[in-house]
Amino acid sequence: MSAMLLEVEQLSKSFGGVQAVQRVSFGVKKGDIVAVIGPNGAGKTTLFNVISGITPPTDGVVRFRGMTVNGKRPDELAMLGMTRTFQNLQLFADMTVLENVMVGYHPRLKSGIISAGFRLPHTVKEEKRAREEAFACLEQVGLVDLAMEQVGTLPYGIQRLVEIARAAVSRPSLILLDEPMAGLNPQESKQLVDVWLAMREQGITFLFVEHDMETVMSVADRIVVLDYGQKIAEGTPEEIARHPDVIKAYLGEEEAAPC
Amino acid sequence: MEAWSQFVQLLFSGLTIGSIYALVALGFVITYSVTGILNLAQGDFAMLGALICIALVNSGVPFVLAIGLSMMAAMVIGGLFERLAIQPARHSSVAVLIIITIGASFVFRGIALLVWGTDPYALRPFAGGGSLSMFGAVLQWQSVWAIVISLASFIGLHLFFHRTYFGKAVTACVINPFAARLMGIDIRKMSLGAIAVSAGLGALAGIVIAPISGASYDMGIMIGLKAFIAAVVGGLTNAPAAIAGAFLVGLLESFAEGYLSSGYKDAVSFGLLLLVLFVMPNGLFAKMTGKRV
Amino acid sequence: MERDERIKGGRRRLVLLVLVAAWLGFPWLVAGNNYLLSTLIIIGVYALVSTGMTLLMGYAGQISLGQAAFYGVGAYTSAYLTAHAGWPPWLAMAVGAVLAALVAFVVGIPVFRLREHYLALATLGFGVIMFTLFKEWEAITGGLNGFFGIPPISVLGMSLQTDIQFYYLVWLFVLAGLWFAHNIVRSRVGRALRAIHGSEVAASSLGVNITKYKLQIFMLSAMYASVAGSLYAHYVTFINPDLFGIVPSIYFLIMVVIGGTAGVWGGLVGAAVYVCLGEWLKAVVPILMPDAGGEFEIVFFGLLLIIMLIYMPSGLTGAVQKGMKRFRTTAGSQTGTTATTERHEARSIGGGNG
Repeated sequence: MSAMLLEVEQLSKSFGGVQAVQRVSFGVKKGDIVAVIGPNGAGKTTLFNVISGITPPTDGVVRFRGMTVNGKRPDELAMLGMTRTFQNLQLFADMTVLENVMVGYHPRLKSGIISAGFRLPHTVKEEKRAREEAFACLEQVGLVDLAMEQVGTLPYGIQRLVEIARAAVSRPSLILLDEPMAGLNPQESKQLVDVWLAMREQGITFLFVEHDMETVMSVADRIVVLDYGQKIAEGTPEEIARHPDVIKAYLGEEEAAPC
Repeated sequence: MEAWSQFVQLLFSGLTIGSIYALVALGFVITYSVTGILNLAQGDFAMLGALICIALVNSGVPFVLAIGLSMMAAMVIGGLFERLAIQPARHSSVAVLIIITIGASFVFRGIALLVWGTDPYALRPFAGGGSLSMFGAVLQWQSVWAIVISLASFIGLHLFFHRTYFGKAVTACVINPFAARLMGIDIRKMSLGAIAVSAGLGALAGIVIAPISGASYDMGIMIGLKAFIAAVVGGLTNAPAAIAGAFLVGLLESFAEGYLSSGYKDAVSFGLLLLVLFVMPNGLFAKMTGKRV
Repeated sequence: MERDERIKGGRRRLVLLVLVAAWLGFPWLVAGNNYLLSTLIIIGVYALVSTGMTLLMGYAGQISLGQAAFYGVGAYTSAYLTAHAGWPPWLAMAVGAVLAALVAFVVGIPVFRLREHYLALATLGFGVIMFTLFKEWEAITGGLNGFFGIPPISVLGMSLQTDIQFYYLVWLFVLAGLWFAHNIVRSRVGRALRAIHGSEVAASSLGVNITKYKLQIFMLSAMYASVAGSLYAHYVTFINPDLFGIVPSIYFLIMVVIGGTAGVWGGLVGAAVYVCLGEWLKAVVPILMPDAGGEFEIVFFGLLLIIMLIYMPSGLTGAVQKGMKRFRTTAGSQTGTTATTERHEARSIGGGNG
């Protein structure tokens, strides 16, 4: 019996001969903000890709809301309440901000090709609801004024916000964020963190990968540290800051760097 | 003994047409490896080579010179095609580039139709007509030429790519265009060169097969598509596999035509294509455009 | 913004009304000129095929180089069932559509797992195989000699024999097809398709089942083509395999490229331009080049295809859309933002330069 929303048990992933993730285990409690950190190449993004269904694990178990979800497709996971953002921003560049976010509402709608094509009454109602929810979400992140802009034309910081709004509009239980702070200036970072915290108030749990230590330390409830594909530490920010293995992993990387 | 001689006959014709497909398939592989483009107009270079050669020979140009000139003409046409149709669209998606090559194929065919009409033309065999008897079947000398010329081309190209500096430069472009550019290799010249060479190979194929099956404005479509299937069997970047695939397609077709009916022979080849596409796991393809997330 | 929307909606409805009135009155305008009527009938038939293809290629971003095969399925099914089995034409048409959808389903499952150029190739291969089937299955299709004597279609007991009657029927279908497509585009399904075209991995992570939607839209486009084929068969009463091979498939593709993807009506625009250009060529070419036959058409359309893809990848509708946007911004009516709530436009097939 666990109150864990997400559980990862002995998870491994290898590509050919390369062991990207080795027997990693940890849990994410509902309502928490959990960070995964580690030096470059530690396997963080691979871990994310396995959890979010983009690639299947070589070994181990992923449990979400008590169910084993190994090998489920990303769209199936989204239907169960897990969405994600991407390190290199995967927005739909030719659609407007509003349209992008409305796509995010997909799991909460039901119209199929036939009811949509014949414009049945329940489709009309659904569309109205989708727009309302999308606008509400945009309001929450402060982007209502830009709703009709094509996302490809917007500044990077705004695009990041759109992506998270898109991932959150369907009120998922868990959102995975892959390096959400990458490329943001301090002001934009703060804006994003405020959005997170507001969403957490509404019951969304976050698991994120990040390099920006300041953000991680100030925002995360728990931190999981990976190095060379293995978990080397897990705990609160204070515990991690003092953890000898963590310090060695990061400093060791510095020592090995050429002058 | 009749069944045996029929088998051998079909075997010979399969090997003959297979060697033609192999030349064209090689052109596909070279183009795709260097530029990443699937050139669906590749088969039409065979048609252009054959028809131009016939025109030259008929106006009195010495035979061997005519072959050389028509190959060069095809290469020039290929180069123009690359500069005018491919380069301006080089930032477009793969889908667009494929459709552009289809458009080019239409243009080549239409021009051929305008110049030469719908009638088939004949080219005299290379060393006079005649044939030899082997194992109870008849093998035309021209078929022997076809197979020999193809094999010679393969060996020549192999030596070129592996022994000469220029050839290795092309290989470098394929493996890592960025690094190649750092080393001073001009990618755009490579693209032009690749398509020109492929055009030359295609033209040679058309010239070699013309004495056997004639030449007409629409001969390129099927030759191109069959050679394409061969290239796909090899994974689009593997030349030896493409050559093997070409002979496989040629033999399959020949036997289908002989034992089933000629109408179905196209379907058999395309059935092979679909089989290969569906069964070969995606991971074997060299230039996969995967997205790093 | 609400008021602007209402104005725009009103303006759009007016345009629609004018077009519908023009459609209804056209035969009277041209005093029953059969040549013009039959041209418009053909445009309508092609528009059905290309509208389905616009959904598939423009919105979902999937290439089909063998669409004429489905056109053929509809044509031959209607032909065979009505001529040889005595079935009522509407039932035969429906069966044709279901058959086409089934074929699309069976072919689509393996094909949509392939990437980019392999997908294009597989549809090409499929097209060739179907063409071979049409050619060889003589018992059903009559082979290369063609299928003669297709009975006419009838509405409410009245058999449709004249061009005027067929004109209204075909365009009723076109309007219905456009309406259906328009509804799809402005729904969850349409957004899912555009999302797939934009970024498959992101679409998937948001709950869009990629394969399901690709398959469904492929099947829908097949049904559009099949219905068009059935209508065509009943109109010309004679069909042969050459109408359903690779070259017609590419011509349908050209229609989609010409028309563009800024709206579902791109297919209609492309079909109209293609047919009109073809007719213009037939009239003009014999004067300029007396020896040239229909071959010039191939060269012309091949060149057109290349030029459009390089310089106008979003097609005519895309160019018009861009022109209108520029007009609106220079006129200072809005601060550069569009007044509509959603734009429903698809990416160009090229995706990049637009």
